[in-house]
Order: sequence, then C-alpha cells, then structure tokens
Amino acid sequence: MVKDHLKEVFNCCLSFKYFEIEDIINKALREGISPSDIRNVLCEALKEALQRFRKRVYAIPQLYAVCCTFERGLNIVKLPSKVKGRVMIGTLGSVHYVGKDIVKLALMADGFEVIDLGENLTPEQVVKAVEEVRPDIVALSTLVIICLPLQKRVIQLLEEKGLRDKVKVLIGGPVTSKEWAKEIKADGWATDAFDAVKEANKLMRELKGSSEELLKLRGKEVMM
Amino acid sequence: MTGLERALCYLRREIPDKIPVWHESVYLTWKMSGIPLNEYLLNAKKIARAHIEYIKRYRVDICGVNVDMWWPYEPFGIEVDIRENIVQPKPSPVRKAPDPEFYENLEYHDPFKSKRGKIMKEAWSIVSREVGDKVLLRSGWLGPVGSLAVLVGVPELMRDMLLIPDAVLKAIREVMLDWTVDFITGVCEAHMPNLTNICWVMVPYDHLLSSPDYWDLIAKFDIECFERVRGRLGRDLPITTHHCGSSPALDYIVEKFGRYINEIQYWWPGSDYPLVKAVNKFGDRVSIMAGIDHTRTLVLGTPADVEAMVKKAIDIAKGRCSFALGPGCGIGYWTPEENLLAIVKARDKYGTYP
Repeated sequence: MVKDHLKEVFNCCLSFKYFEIEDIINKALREGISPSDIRNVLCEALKEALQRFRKRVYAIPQLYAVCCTFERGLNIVKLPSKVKGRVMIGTLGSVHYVGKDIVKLALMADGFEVIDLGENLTPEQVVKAVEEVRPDIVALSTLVIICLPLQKRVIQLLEEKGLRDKVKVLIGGPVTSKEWAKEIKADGWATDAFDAVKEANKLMRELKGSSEELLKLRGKEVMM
Repeated sequence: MTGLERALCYLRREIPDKIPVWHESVYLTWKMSGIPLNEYLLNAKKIARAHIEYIKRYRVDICGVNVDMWWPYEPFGIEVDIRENIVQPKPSPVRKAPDPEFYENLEYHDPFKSKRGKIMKEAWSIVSREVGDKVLLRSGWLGPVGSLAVLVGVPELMRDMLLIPDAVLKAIREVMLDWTVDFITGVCEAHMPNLTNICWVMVPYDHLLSSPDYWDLIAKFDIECFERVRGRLGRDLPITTHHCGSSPALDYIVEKFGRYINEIQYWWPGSDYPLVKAVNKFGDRVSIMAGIDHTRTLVLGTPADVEAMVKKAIDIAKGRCSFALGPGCGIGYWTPEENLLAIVKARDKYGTYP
C-alpha cells in the first residue's frame, strides 16, 4: 500500500503530471504515509530526471517539467531541518533562471539549504548578501557572455571585503569553462545540475577539512 | 572581391578570393557609439552609424544589425529593463505555473507598431543603403515556435508543450505564424535594395534545448514561414542560418531543411559537434560557417591563440567544403581588441584561395 502510493508520486513526477501532483501527495498523506517518505521519493524522482538529462533521454523541457512538478510537491511536504550546508545561488546580470532553478532544486534534493537570490543580480548585491547570510557556498550562474565579467567582479569584491576565504565560489552556465573558472580563481565549476551537486559536496568536504585543520591548529596553540 | 561578393560566393558554394569572416556584437557596437545604452536604443542613426563603424574597424565580410532580442516582442506587452550594460525582459507571466489561458488569449499584433520596431527599420535601411552592397548583412530571426518561446520563455514553452499542448498549438497556429511571416517580411523590406539573404535561427533544433519529439512540428511551421515569406517577397533568396546552442542537431537540420538552406552556421569550437564531422557529412551539400570560439579563446587567449584557432578550422575545412569563419554567437564587448583584429589577420594568412 505504502509502496503503491510512493510509486505513484515517483511516476507522477516523471510523467510530468504537474496538475495532479498535489492531489496524489494529499491522498498519500491521508493514507498515513509520512511527509519524509514522500519527500524522499520526490527527491529520488528528481535525481532520476537529472540522470535521464545526463544520458540525453531528457532535454531541458522534460527536466524543467519534472522540476516544476517536484517543486509543487515539495511545497506540501517541505524540506528537513537538518542540512548538509548552506548554498546561496543567483544569476548574474541577466534574467535567465532555468539552469539556476534546476541546480537549486537538485541541491535541495541532495540535502542542502538553498537561498535563491534570483536573477539579474549585480556583483554588489551578491556580496552584500554573502555578508548578511554567510553561506558556505555561493553559486553563480551566467548564461550570456556579456555577463561573464560579473563573476570575476564578485570574486574581486569578496577579496576586497575580506570574505574570500569564508565562502566557496562555484560557477556555472554554458558560456563558462574550466579555463574561465581558473582565470577568475573560482573554487568550483559545474557543467550541469548533476555536476553542481557533486562540486557542492566536494566544496563542503574542503570546508569541513579546513575547519577541522583550523581547530587542530587552535588546539595546538592552546596546548602551547 | 568585396565582402559581399566573397560571402555570396561562399553561399553559392563557389570559390571566393578568401574565406569570408562573420562576426558582430550588439554591445561592442553600442560601446563604439559613445552614448548611454538607453539613448542608443532609441536612436536609429546612432545604431546604424555604430554598425557601419564596426564593419570597417574589424573588416568583416558578413555582419548583422541589431540591438537586444526583445524589442520585436514589445507589441505583445514584453517590457524591458535597461541597465547600464544590458537589456533584459521583465519576468514571463507563465514562469512558475503553466497557464492555458495565456496561450488561448494571445492576440496578433503588428510587429512594427512599437517605437523600437520603427527605429530598427530605419537603422537597417540606413546600413543597407550605405554598406549593403559591400558586406552581406544578416540578422537571425526565429520561426513561429521560437518566437513564442522568446515571448513566454524557452523552457516554459517546451514544458507547456508537454503539459498543455492544445493551448500552445492554438497560439502558434492562430497568432505566431502570421506574426512571424509579417515580421520577417518587414525585416527583409527594410533591407531593400540590398537584401541578400534571410537568416533563420535554428536553435530550437538542439539536443539539450528541446525534445526531438517536437522537431518535426517546429520544422513544419518554419517551412511554412519560409514559403510564405518568399511568396510575399516574390523572389527566392538564399537562406543563411544561426545556431548558438551547445548540442546542435545538425544532422536533423540538414536532413529536414537541406533543400531550403544554403549554409549551416554553428558554434565550434564550443559545441559538441566537431567541425571535421560536419565537413565530412554535409560539406558536399551545404556551406559551413564555424571556427571561432567566442567564449574561451577569443576572450581568454592571446592573438597567437586566436591565430592557431583560425588555422585549425581552416586546415579542417578549406578545400573540403565551402567555408566561412564565424563565432557561435554575438561577441562580448570586453573581448580584447587585438584578438578581434587577429581573426582577419589569420584569415588573410591561411584562408586565401589561389
């Protein structure tokens, strides 16, 4: 019974039943299925969609349709309070949001807390938000080439404000490249949402490693 | 040869004196005008003058005349936000949730009734009269489905084609088809008497951007448009193309549109379709434009790197197909000047025919 309901939620996402997802989840909740089980199956459906996109079974429209359905479902069951890390995400300079939104949902499905700054951002807005929110990672999406210098400017501003070593910078977007990430000294670069999740986990491990290192050093200082 | 003669030879798959070069930059052209963006966008003479200056400075054989991509859709109610360095539209009404009523209530609007529509017509006319007999002018336009995608958002439209197909198809069939025919006919008329081609944007045919399940449907509307525009103009113009996606469905494009189009232009190096593959598969049938990566080498490299990139493309394509050099899309305004100048220099060195 439980399995049937969860399977229905999973299939509903992957068959793009945007208009049906609320009813199906509410029905499952009424049958006593826990929100966390439903949430997990929603996340599994999104991960499956990301895999299908990677394998070219899906193009962006199908992936986006699953994302919209997933998000609608998630609004009912909400995310857990325990998170892997805090990511702040936004699109610099232009109104493009689809790639950013897909990455956001993929990170949420993987257990990150995501603060979405929106689109058309200036580097100053991003850095101000970093100062206020203090995320572990700031993820910067850029779709159009004329906005690439804005990614560089964010890193410069973070350095000027003394924040650069307090936050990891992850960049992405079709006009970005590994070479560009190296040029602007970003900490990570992702080609798609799947990669972004992988990179975010890697950056969190680095952060954890460096804070443990710091604690060890501080411990030594105390001992001395 | 003039740039135009060179470009027309290339489109006819004849051998010109040199490989033609295309590039353009909406925002670099604006920078050359020396006035703020919000003033530039409303001044046809400044737009025209800056493009003529761009053509002279970078010695391109092929160039487009355009500003942002949103102005054609202003009669439908699209509003833009003009910032210091960029023009962007305000959010789409169907961004988050699919809304069948939006499509069902969409109405036809005269494509050139807006202020900016009139300005662009005047700018094209000035540039075409002054340099249209010396360079090939081309600006890519989307077909009916692509135009609706710009209006509502590309992924939103594709998503809605999955979720509410009847409403979307109604809007394409009853509004966007006529609108696109009228818009492209108007663009062509403004380029008279030096109208040399119709440039069609083929981005909907991309493995990442849209589903192959829809390509035949999109193509059906595109082909109907070609035929109606040609019928209106009363002449059979060459059709040039533009594809700036990272996974272009070139096999499909050539198979479906082979009898209509004279070239395929696409992003290589950059996309996942190697130039050598395109040359081997279609080089005997259609002219090919590629060879310049506007996102990496052109912005991060040195003039020597640009020369090496151009040489590599020429080594692959010269003598094996009718070839032109071009980037995947518009160039960033912050691209180093010396790299832009290095393109034509390298073409002169490696791309001359005996």
